Amino acid sequence: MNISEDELEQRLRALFADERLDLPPPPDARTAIVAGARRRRRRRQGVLAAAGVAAAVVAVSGGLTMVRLHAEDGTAVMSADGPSLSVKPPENLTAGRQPDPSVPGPTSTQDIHVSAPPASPTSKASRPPSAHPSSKLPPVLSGPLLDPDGFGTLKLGMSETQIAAQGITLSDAQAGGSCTVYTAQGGGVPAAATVVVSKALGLTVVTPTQAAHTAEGIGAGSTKEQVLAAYPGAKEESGGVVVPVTTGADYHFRLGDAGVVQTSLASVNQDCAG
Amino acid sequence: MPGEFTDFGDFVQATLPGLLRYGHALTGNPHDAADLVQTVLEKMGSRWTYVREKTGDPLAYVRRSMANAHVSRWRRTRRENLVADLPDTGPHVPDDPFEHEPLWRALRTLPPRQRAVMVLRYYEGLSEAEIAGALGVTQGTVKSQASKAIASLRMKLTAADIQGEGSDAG
Repeated sequence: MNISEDELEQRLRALFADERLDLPPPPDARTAIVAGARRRRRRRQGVLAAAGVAAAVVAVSGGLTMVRLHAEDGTAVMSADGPSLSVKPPENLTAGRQPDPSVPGPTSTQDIHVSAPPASPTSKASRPPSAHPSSKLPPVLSGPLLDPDGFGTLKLGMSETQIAAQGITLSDAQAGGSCTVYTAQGGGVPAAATVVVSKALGLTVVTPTQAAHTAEGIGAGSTKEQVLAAYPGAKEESGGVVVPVTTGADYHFRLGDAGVVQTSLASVNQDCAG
Repeated sequence: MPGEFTDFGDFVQATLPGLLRYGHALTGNPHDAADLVQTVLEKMGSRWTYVREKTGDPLAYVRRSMANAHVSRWRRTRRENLVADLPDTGPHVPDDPFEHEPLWRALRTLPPRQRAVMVLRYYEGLSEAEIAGALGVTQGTVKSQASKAIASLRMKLTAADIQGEGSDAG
């Protein structure tokens, strides 16, 4: 006999409401996580400040400690949780799984060495080029600034009329379905941009025609590792990386051979292809 | 800024139980749940002021980050997991309270994106549009992933029921 879709949905809701899903937090979790956050911050800043060898040491010891903390946390949760068994995680956990795959570490990939260093105007102390592969490049501040909510006075959600009221000219209209693609130019935007305006939702996508940078110093030439390191929740997509930047919008970084080549801001909710 | 980290610590303390539970639903086991929550929170905490000010809703942001991190983590470890799945019938000690729950076992066989869609829909109660937003995919993808997941779960559960009846009878 077949389970109906309704019955399955009910069983799913019941399972997800089951109190056995609760996991008691390990007693030291707050301390461990705050310490981990500090370490990540320090690592990033240490590298940005180009504190050469010291940064490398922090990075390495940070990495080691992190592994241990993860192991501790896992163990604490498991032993606190197991009804009668303080025994074993399943086989794939003991098989030396990377504890923190989303953070670029010593094992991450080939594009580390192809990272194209932007012409560095630096007055800072010389950076050891291979000390810390994941985020050794300086923040990118070239090109216009793309904000989490828009580009200059151009803001996500604006209608054509509202955009025009900012002193921005929309040209080269290409209508398609419920959305229209324009070129936006004028005093209200730091540089020309391609925009997509939905009839229902207003401005949904902004792509400056020259690669823009974000407040986090990600822009033309940033490597994939830098993007992933700069944003929690960053995730690879076809041709680049997408980053949730607010609950309603994502940055899309298009990656070429020399790192980021294009930066877009796009609403999460869209009624047109994008 | 010490104040900033105090504030972040309070956020961790307040949200941790719910996030661990959510992580358990997402990943299917306590160890990965703890690992996922810790990783995402640490990343977020290292940029706390920015996250709090720019996202408006840090809790929604962290949950969304967890769903995405879970999906992309699986992509990296897929091969390893497939191998590890092979000796599944081996007599290892169950570590999970749902080890013998057929639906839980069936969920474990779903690719993470399908599982994430199921969790966002039936745990979080999100709409298709909200799920699409959370995972950064189109609504069409959500729809097709959901229907694949539902079909696969129904098939697995039906098979499990038949097996269950068989062993009851014998």
